[in-house]
Amino acid sequence: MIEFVNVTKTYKNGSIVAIKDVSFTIKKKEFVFVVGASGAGKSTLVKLMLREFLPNSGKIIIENFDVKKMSKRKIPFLRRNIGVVFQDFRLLPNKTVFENVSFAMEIIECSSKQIKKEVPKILELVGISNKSKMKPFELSGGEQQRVSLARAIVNNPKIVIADEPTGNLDFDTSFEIMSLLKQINKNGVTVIIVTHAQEFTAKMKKRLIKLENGSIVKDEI
Amino acid sequence: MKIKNIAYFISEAFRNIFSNGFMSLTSIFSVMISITIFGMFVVLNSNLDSFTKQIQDFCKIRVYFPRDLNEHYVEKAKKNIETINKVKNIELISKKKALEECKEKIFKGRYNLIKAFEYDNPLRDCYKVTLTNAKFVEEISKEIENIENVEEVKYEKNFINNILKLIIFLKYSSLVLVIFFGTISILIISNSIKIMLFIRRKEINIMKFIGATNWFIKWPYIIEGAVIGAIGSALACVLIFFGYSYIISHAKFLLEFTKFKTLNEIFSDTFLKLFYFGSGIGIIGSYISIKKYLHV
Ligand SMILES: Nc1ncnc2c1ncn2[C@@H]1O[C@H](COP(=O)(O)OP(=O)(O)OP(=O)(O)O)[C@@H](O)[C@H]1O
Ligand SMILES: [Mg+2]
Repeated sequence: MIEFVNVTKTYKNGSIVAIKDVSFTIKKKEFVFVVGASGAGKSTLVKLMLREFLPNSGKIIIENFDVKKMSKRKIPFLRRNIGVVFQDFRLLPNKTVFENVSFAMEIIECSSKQIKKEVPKILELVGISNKSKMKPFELSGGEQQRVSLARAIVNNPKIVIADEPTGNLDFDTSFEIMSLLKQINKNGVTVIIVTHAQEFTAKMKKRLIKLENGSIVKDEI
Repeated sequence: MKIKNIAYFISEAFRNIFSNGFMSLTSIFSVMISITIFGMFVVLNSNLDSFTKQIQDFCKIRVYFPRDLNEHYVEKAKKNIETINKVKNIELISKKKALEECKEKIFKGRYNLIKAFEYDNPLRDCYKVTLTNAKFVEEISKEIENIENVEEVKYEKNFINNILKLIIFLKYSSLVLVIFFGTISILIISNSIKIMLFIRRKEINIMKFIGATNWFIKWPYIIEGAVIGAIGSALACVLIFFGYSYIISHAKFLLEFTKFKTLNEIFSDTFLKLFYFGSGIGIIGSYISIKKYLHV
C-alpha cells in the first residue's frame, strides 16, 4: 500500500515546486498510470517513494514504512519492497544478462541455490532466456527493457514501478512490455506505470493519476 | 555476516584491485615505500632498546669514601645506598683491591715503584653502583652524595647524557615518522579507494536502489583498502628483511659496539607489527573515503 498525504517537495530552497500538496492512496494489487507533461513532477513522485529524498512536508507511507520517520538504516529494506524499471534501464554494462538479474538477488543475500533456480525462471517469463549470456550493449532497447524488468521483479517485490517503460520502443514491443506488467499485476503485485504514452492508458481502462505542475488534476478509472 | 557474503566481498575487492591494476600497483608501491622507511626506524628503535640495556652497564656510579674511613662506616653507607630506588647492584672495590688492580694493570713488572704504597695506600674505598635504568643517573648520584661519609660521586656524565639524549631523540623522531608516514599511507589508500568509488559510482547507485544495505556496499572497499595496505607492508617487510640481513652480515664492526637483534627476533616483533599497521592503515584509508564519497 502507498499513501501520500499533503506531500510537497521543492528543489533549490523552494524556488522550484515539483510536487504541490499531493494526496492519494494506491491499494494493494492496484494497477495505476501516472501521467503528465514533461516537468509535471512524475519522476519526483517516484523518487519520493524510493526515499531518494524526503518531502518538505506531508506524510508518505509505503507498506509498513513511514518514509519520513524511518531511520536511514532501514532504507534498503523499504526499497526491497519496490522493484523499479528505470527509463534508462540502469543495467551493469560489464555483466551478462544473467548476472544483471542474479546481482539483485546477491545483494539481498539470497543463496546461490535460490539464484540458480529463480533467475532462469524470470528470464523465461520476460522472454529473454536465449540471451542470458549476452552483455547489455549487445541487446536492443526492448531487450534491455526486459532485463531491467526481470531485475525489478526477481525478488518478488510488493510494488513494481516502471518509469517510461515504453519510452523509446516501437508499438509491438511496448505492447508486449505492457502485457508483461499486466501479468505481473495479476500475480498480486501493485504496478505503477509512469508514462506519456496515451494510447495505452486509454485502452487499458485502468486508474489514471494525472499531474500538472506538481498537482493532481485528475484521478479516475 | 554469512560465509557466502564474505566470499562475495573478497572477490569484489580483488575484482576492484585487478580492474584498475595500475592504480592498485601505484598505491601498493607507495605504501611499501612509506612503510619501509617507517619500518627501518622501528627496527633501529628495537635495537636501541637492547642498546640502552647494554649501556646500562657502562653507566656505573662510583662512590668514594675518605681515605682513612673505618670499614664499618663504608659498610653502613652501603646499606643506605641499597635503600635508594632503582639501584640494581652495588659492588665494593676496596682500596686494597684497587691497589692490587693497579699493580696488575699499570705497574706490572715495576712493583718497586709503588712499594711505598703498601704501607700507606693512597687509594680510596669505592662502590660501583649499577642502576636499573640509566636515565636516573643524575638524580641518584645526587641522592648518594647526601649519604653520610660519602666523599665524592663520579660517573661519565657527558657520555651518558649524550647517548641518552640521542636515544630519546630517535624515539621521538620515530613517533613523528609513524604519524607522518602513517598519514601519507592513509591518504594514498583513501585516494585510490576514492577513485574506485568514482569508477563504480553507477554500479553503487544501482545497488542502493535495488536494496543493498550500506555495509553490503562498503565491505568490498574496506577489504580492498586492507589488502592494499597488507600487500604494501608485506613487501616493505621483505625489503627490510634483506636490508637488515645485509647490514648485520656486512657491518661486523658495529657488532663490537652493540649487539644486534637476530632476524628471528626482528621478525616476531617488528614484521608482524608492520603488517598489522599496514592493514590497519588500509582500513582507515578506505573508511575515510567511504565516509566522504559514498553517500549511503
Ligand atoms: N534535482 C533537481 N534540482 C532542481 N530541480 C529539479 C530537480 N529534479 C527535478 N527538478 C525540477 O522539478 C520539476 C519536476 O521534475 P520531474 O523530474 O519530477 O518531472 P517529470 O514529470 O518526471 O518530467 P519528465 O517527463 O520530463 O521526466 C521540473 O521542473 C524539474 O526541472
Ligand atoms: Mg521523469
